[in-house]
Amino acid sequence: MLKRSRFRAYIVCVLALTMLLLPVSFAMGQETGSGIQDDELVVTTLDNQSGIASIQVLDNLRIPAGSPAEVKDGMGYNLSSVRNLYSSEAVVKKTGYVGIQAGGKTAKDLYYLAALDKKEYAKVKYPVSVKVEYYLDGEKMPADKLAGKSGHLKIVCNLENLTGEKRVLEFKNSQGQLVQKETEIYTPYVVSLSGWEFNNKIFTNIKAPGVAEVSPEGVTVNVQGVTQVNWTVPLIPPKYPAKQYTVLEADATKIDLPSCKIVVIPICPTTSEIDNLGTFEESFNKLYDGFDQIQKGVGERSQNATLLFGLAKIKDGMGTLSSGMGTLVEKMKMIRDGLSNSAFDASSYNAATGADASGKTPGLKDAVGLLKAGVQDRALPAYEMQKMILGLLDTSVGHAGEAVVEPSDTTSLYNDVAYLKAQVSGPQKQIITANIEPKLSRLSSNIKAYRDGGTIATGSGTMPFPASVKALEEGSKETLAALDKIDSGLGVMVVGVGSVGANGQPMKVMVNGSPGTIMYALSYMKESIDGQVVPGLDQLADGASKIGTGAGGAKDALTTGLVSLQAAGPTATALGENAAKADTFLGKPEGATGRVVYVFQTPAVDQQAGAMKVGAGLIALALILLVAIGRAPKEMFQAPAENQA
Amino acid sequence: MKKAIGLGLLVAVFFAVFVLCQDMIGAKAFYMAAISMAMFAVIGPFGDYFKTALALLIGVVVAFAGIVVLALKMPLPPDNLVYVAIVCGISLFLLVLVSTVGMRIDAMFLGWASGFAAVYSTYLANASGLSAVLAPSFVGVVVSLLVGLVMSLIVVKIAMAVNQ
Repeated sequence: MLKRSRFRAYIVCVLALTMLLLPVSFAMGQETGSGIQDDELVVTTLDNQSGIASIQVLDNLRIPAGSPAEVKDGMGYNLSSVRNLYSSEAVVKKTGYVGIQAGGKTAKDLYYLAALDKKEYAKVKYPVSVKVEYYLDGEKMPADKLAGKSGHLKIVCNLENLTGEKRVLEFKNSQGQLVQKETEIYTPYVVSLSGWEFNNKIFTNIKAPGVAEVSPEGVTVNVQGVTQVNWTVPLIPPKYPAKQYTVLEADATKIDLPSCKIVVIPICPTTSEIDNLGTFEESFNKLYDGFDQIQKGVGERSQNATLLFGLAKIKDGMGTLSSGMGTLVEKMKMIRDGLSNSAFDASSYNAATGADASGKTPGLKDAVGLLKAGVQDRALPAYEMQKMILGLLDTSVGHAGEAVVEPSDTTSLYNDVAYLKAQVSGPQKQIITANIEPKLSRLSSNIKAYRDGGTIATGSGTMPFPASVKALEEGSKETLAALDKIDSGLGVMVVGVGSVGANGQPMKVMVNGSPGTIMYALSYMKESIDGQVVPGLDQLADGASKIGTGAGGAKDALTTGLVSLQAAGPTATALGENAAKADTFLGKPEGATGRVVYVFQTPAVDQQAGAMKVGAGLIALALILLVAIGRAPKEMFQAPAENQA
Repeated sequence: MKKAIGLGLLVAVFFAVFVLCQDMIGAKAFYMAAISMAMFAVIGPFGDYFKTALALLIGVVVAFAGIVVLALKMPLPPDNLVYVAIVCGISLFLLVLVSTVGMRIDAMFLGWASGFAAVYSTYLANASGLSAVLAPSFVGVVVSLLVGLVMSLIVVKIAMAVNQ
């Protein structure tokens, strides 16, 4: 029965193998003459602290027919064990390589599992660093400590591409020139965190948030009570950052998590993304031209027909204007001093020296003041006195036709002569009538003319006399009035020109918000030019210079950007080359092509240990119970006495 | 009769609690307890239940040893039917041999079958995952079988009490 069963099993086995191997043989037959294909799956189990618990390599070798009897697969690390998984060909660990029994007329497709020696773990250099951190209610803890606990769970998976190397890329720019650019080229890796499953009875509010440029958002799908979360993390600089992380957050009750897989694949993925690089390059070129024109327009101080040159010229002109204003202010000070000397003391003026007691000379207005004072204080009173004296003389002389009285101290000469004439006769009377009386009459008339104006009589006739005292007085009054006007005008001029303060600078006078004097206006303008216009021009020049510098910087950045854009193609090529080179972890047979994929397994978080303890306790209890009440009574099975030895 | 009802209720409650606590004790194959109970209730009041338990344990141990050998030393599925057949044959041969020293062959076979059933699907689908489930599965299977055995003993005791 057993033999028949085994035979049947052999038949089933042979049939099954034939069915399985036929297509494989057919496929391999087509590959005859091609090289060996060596695909590696590096499985790393992480411990509770995200360290390495174990490393195994599942190696799939496709060996074409006609290969040597032994294929030597690489052994970059010491192995603790090697095992052929699915077939019976000998796979043996030898010195420096893994020997695989091959040869024969048929192709072979075999898988072997190689476990790395624990001592080698420290030497292993992964192309991508994977660190998983667990937080419960914000507190970081090892995975195994989470089992059975409740709270807000956060799982952070930190990923970093460690393969960056400096390399000089050569390519032609848009002008056809050969450009060299040193850049860090990575081996492109895409990390797939797929199929992370969370039981909805245990986990609620499951989120996989992302952060732009550092952390991709996960895709969550709720299917039949289980939420699946998937992330795809391209660690492909320069398009994506070399260092990224994923985050999963959920509210958990009695945490129980299966092991999750993190798959790291060297690949430069082809996407269906629309390529806008050409448009960008054209736009960048136009932008570059724009900034170039700005830079040229801003120019240099020494470069004609540029903004900086023009501003420098304006500044120079403003400097000259300011200097001229300064001169004008100085000259206006002199004019102001000529108009009026505020230090001049008119009361101590000495006409002989032409200065006051302290030697200060009068200004024009001061001189007018002195003149006015001379007319008002001396000339006009003198004219009044002259008029008074002339009146007394007129009274003393007297006039013809007045009543003649006996001469006394108060009688006039005319009265006395008339009285005398009445007392004498003959030649005396004739002398008086012919000589003295006409002379007295002319004297009286001339005195009046001298005082009030008119004609002066002489022995030979009469003549007009305009220089009477009255005319002089009136002339002096008119002069005084004119001097008043001059003084007033000069006063206005003095006010208009302004005053100089103790510091020698024009005094500040503002009227309705504007400078109120010529000197202050000039000073104000000069200060404005020196203090605002020129610094403003300097700032304008600095600003323009910065615009020029900025435009230059923008040009440089655009040049760099353009170079980066133009380098995109060579970079992609280099990435593809690197991806193709990342073809083995352990090593591969000489001349073989290979592929390598890394899988990191997180530790399962469950309560199995507790359950096992309870189960073991139950087993012990059951055995004790069975020993106590489940043993057969001994007498039931005792042999008859005659059969006992 | 009252005693029978009381003990019957005790068995029912005990089994229900066992089913309810399957997660806590890792006994996913709780139904094996019923099979175990059904098989060994026929041992009778004078049978050696403890020895049967030992036979069950031997069966489970041989099954797990066979699976371990298959997983570690033989080619893995799917093209390994020959090796599965060899291991199964040797296992059963061993059990037959052990039965010659007084162990119940039915208990050993039940233990072997239960043990194999507990991990064979894992072995087929994910041999590399066996290491993680081996110990819990062993405990779970043994618990289920022993609980069934204990309950069968209790059932026999009930029968004896009722028939007295």
